[in-house]
Amino acid sequence: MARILIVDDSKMTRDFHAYVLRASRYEVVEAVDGADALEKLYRYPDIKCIVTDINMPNMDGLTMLRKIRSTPELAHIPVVVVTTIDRPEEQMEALKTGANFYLIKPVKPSILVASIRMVVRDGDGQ
Amino acid sequence: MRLKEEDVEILKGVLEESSELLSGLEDKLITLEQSGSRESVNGVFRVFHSLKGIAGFANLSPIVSVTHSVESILKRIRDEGALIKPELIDLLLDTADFCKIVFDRIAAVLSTYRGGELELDLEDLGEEEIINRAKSYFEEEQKESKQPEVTQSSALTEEFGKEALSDFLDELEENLHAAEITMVDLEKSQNADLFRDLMRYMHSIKGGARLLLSICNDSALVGPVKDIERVSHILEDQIQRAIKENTQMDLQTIFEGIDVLKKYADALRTGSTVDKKQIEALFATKGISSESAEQVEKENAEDLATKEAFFNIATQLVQYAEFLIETRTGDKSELGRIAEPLKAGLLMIGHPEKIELVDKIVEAGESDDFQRLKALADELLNWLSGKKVAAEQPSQPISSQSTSEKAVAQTVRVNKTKLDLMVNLVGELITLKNSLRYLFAVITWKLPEFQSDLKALSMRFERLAYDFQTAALSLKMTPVGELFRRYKRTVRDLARSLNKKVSLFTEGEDVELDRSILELLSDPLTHLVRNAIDHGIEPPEERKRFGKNEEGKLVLRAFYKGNFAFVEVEDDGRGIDVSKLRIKAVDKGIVEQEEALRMSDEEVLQLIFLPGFSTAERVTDLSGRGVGMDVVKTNIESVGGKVTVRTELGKGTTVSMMIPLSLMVIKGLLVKIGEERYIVPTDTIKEILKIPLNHLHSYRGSLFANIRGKTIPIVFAEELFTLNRVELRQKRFPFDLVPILVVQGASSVFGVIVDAFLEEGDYLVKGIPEQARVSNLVSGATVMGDGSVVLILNLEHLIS
Repeated sequence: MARILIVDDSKMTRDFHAYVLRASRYEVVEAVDGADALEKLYRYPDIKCIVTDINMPNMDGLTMLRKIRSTPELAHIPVVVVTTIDRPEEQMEALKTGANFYLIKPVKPSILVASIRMVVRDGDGQ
Repeated sequence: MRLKEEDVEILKGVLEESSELLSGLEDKLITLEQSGSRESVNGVFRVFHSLKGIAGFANLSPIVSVTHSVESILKRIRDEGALIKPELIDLLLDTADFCKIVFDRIAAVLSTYRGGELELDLEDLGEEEIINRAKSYFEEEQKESKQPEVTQSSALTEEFGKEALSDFLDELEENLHAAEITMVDLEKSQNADLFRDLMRYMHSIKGGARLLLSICNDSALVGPVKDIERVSHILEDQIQRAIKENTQMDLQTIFEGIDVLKKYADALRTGSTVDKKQIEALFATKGISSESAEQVEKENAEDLATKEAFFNIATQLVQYAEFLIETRTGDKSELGRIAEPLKAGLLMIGHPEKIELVDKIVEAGESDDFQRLKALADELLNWLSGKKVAAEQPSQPISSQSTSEKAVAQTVRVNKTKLDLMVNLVGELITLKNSLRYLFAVITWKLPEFQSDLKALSMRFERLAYDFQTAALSLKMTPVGELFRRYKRTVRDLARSLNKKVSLFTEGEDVELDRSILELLSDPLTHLVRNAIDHGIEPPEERKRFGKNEEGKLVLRAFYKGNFAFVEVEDDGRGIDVSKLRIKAVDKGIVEQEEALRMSDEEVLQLIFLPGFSTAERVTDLSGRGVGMDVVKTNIESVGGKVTVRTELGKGTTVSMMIPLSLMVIKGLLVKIGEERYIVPTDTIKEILKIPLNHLHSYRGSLFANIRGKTIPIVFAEELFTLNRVELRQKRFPFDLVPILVVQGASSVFGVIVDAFLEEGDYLVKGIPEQARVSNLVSGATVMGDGSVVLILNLEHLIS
C-alpha cells in the first residue's frame, strides 16, 4: 500500500483528498504546511508521492518543493501541485521549481486518483 | 446535466442569491461558536435552509444533499438544545466552503456560456465526504445523549426520513408523468429536444434517488431506491447514447423502464415489494444486465478519468516546453520530471508508441535544441488535439477558464436597507426641488436681472433630480420577463394534463418592475394562467367546431402607460358569459335581483373577485389549487393597483393588472378644499374643469353637472372631510366658475368640487401608520417645501 503525503492548510481540502485517496486504498499522511510536510517526510521514509498546495502559512509549497528537490534522499519523490486556475504564472513556477505536474482546484476525485496512478507506479493500492 | 437557456437564467439568479447567503455565513458561524445562543443556531439553520431551497430550485443535488445533512443536525440542536462542539463548527465551515467551491465552479462554467444549451458537470464533487461526516456527527451525538431523548431524536430522524421519502415519491411521480407525456410525443416524431427532456426527467429521478440514499438509512428503503437509481441511470444512459449517435430509439424499452419505475413508486407508497425478476428480465432482453451495465459504466468513467489526467499532464509538458522556448531559461531537467508520469500515462491509455516522442522532447530540451523542441512539442500537441476531439470528455482548457472567471461579477450586491435609504434620499431631493422652485420664483420676481440665469439653473437642477430619481428607482427594478419565463412550463404541463393545446406568447418582457412587486405578482399570475387554460381555452374539438385554431393562444403581456405598469393575461378562449354571471350572483345572494339588473357589465365582472364567488365558479379538478381570484385582487390592491377584466363571449378574456410604477414619488395636483390643501394624484384625474355655476343642477338633494352633453354626479370634496353640509349657494367662486376634478372610478365617472386648483408637482409619498388612517380616502401624506404636511387623496374610493 503506497503512502501519499497530503499538504494543505485547509482542513477541508486535506480531508477531501485523503478521503478520495483512502477510498482508492492508498495510505495517507497529512501535513498542514511545508515545514510540517518536511517533518512528516523524515518520519515516514516510505512516502511515495506528495500532493501539495502552494499558498500556505509558515512554509509555502514552493519553498518546500525547493528543499525537497535539493535534498538527495527526497529529490526522487514525485510532487503533484494542486493550484487554482487564476494563477497561470504560479503553475509554470511550480513546474520550474520541481513539481511533476499540477492539478486545478477543485480536483475531481477520479482525476486525482488517475493522476496519482501515473506517478506512483509500484504499490498501487488496488 | 444539460441546461436550457431558461435554466441558465435561473442558475444566474441562484448564484447571486447564494453568494449573498454564503458571505454572511462565516460570521454567523463564528458567532455561533462563541455564543451558542438559540438565535445564532437559528440564524445558521436559516442560511443552510435557504441554500438548500435555492439549490433545489436549480436542481443542484450536491448542494442540496450537503446542506440537508447539516440542516438536520442544526434542527436537532435547535429543538433539543444539544451542545455545540468545535467539530460541528468545522463541519459547518467546511460545508460552506464546499458550497462556495461548487458555486464558483458553476460561475466559471456560466461565464463561458454563449447561448444555447449548457453542459454542467456536477458529478464527483466529493459531497459524500461531508454527508458522511454529518451523519457520523449526528450519530455520535445520539449515542452521547443516552437519556430518553435518544428515542425522541430517532423519532425525529425517522420523521425526517419519511418527509424526504414522500418528497422523493412526489417528484418521482411527477417526473414519470412528464416522461410519459414526452414519450407520447416521441411516438409521433423522434426529436432531439424531446429526448433531452426525457433524459432530464430520468436524470432528476436518478438525482433524487441518490439524495434520498444519502440521507436515509432505513434498510427497507435502500434496496428499492437503489434499484430506482439504477433503472433511471440506465434509461438516461440509453437516451443519451441515442442522442449522441443520432440513432432511432427503441421506445418500447423506455416505456417498460418507466413502467418498472412506476411499480417501484407504488410499492414504496404502499410499503409492498416489487418482483425484481421483472427488471432483470427487462434489461436481459436488451442484452444488458443491469449489473453489468453498471460495471461497464464504472469502467467507462475510470477510463475517462485516466484520459483526462493524461491530457492534463501532457498539456503541461507542452506548456513547459513552450515556456522554455520563450524564456530560454529554466532547468531542462524539469522536462524529464514531467515526462515520467506522462510516459506512465501513455501506457495506461494504450499508446506506448508515443513514449519515443516524449523521450525525444526531453532530449531536445536537454541539448538546448529549441527548434527541435518546438517541432516535437507541436507534434505532440497535434496528436493530443486529435485525441482530444476523439475523446468523449475533453479536459477543460485551462486558459479559457481563467480569463472568463472574472466576467461573472457583472452584478454587485447591495444591502437592501442601503438601497432603500438611497431611494428615500432621492425622494427628499425631489421635495427640496419643489421648495427651490418656490424660491426661484421669488428671486426672479425680486431680481429680474438674474431671471435667465436662474431659469437655466433651475431647469438643469430639475432635469438632474429627475434623472437621478429614475436611476435610483431603476436600481430596484427587475425585468418582468424573468417572471414570465416561469410560466412556460406551467402552461405546457397544464395544457397537457387537460388535453388542450395552448401556446404561450409573451410581450414586453423587458418592462421593469420593483422586485417586491414582481414577487407579489407571482401568485396572481399563476392563478390567472391556470384559470385561462382551465376555463378559458376550449378543448381542441370545441375550438374546431367554432372555427377557431385548434391551438389556444395565451398571452402574458406587460407594458407601461402613464404612471402605471400593466400586466395582462389574455386568452382567446370562450370568454365569460356576463348574463350567466348576473344570474349566479343573484342565486348566490351576493346581489339583489334588481341591483344585478342595474349593474353594468364591468361591475358584474368585478364580482368574480369576491371571495365566495370564484371558488363556486370553478368546478374542475383543478379547483382548490393555488389562490382564488380574490387573492389576485387583494395582492394587486395592496400595492395600490387595480384589476380589471375584459371579455367577449366566444372570443376570449383579458385580465389586466394595473400596478403603480413608483410607489415613492407621484405626480399630483395640489388643491384647496375648505381651508386645507390636499394632493390628488394626477393619474386618478380624468379632467380638470371649471364649469359655469348654472351648468350644475340639483335633483333630490344630489348635484349633477352637464359636461359636454353628459350628466355626471357631483360631490363636494369639503363634505367628505368636514361633515358639514355644504350648499352651493354659500360658496363663492371667482367668475362663478366652479373648479371640478373629473375622476374615473372603477366603473363610473364623477366630479368632485374643490375650492381652488393650486399647482401641479412631484410629491414624495410618505406612508401613514394604520392607526392614524382615518379614512380610505387618504392614501398617504407628503411634506411640502415649506415643511407643512399635506394629505394625498384617493378619490377613486369615493364611489363606494
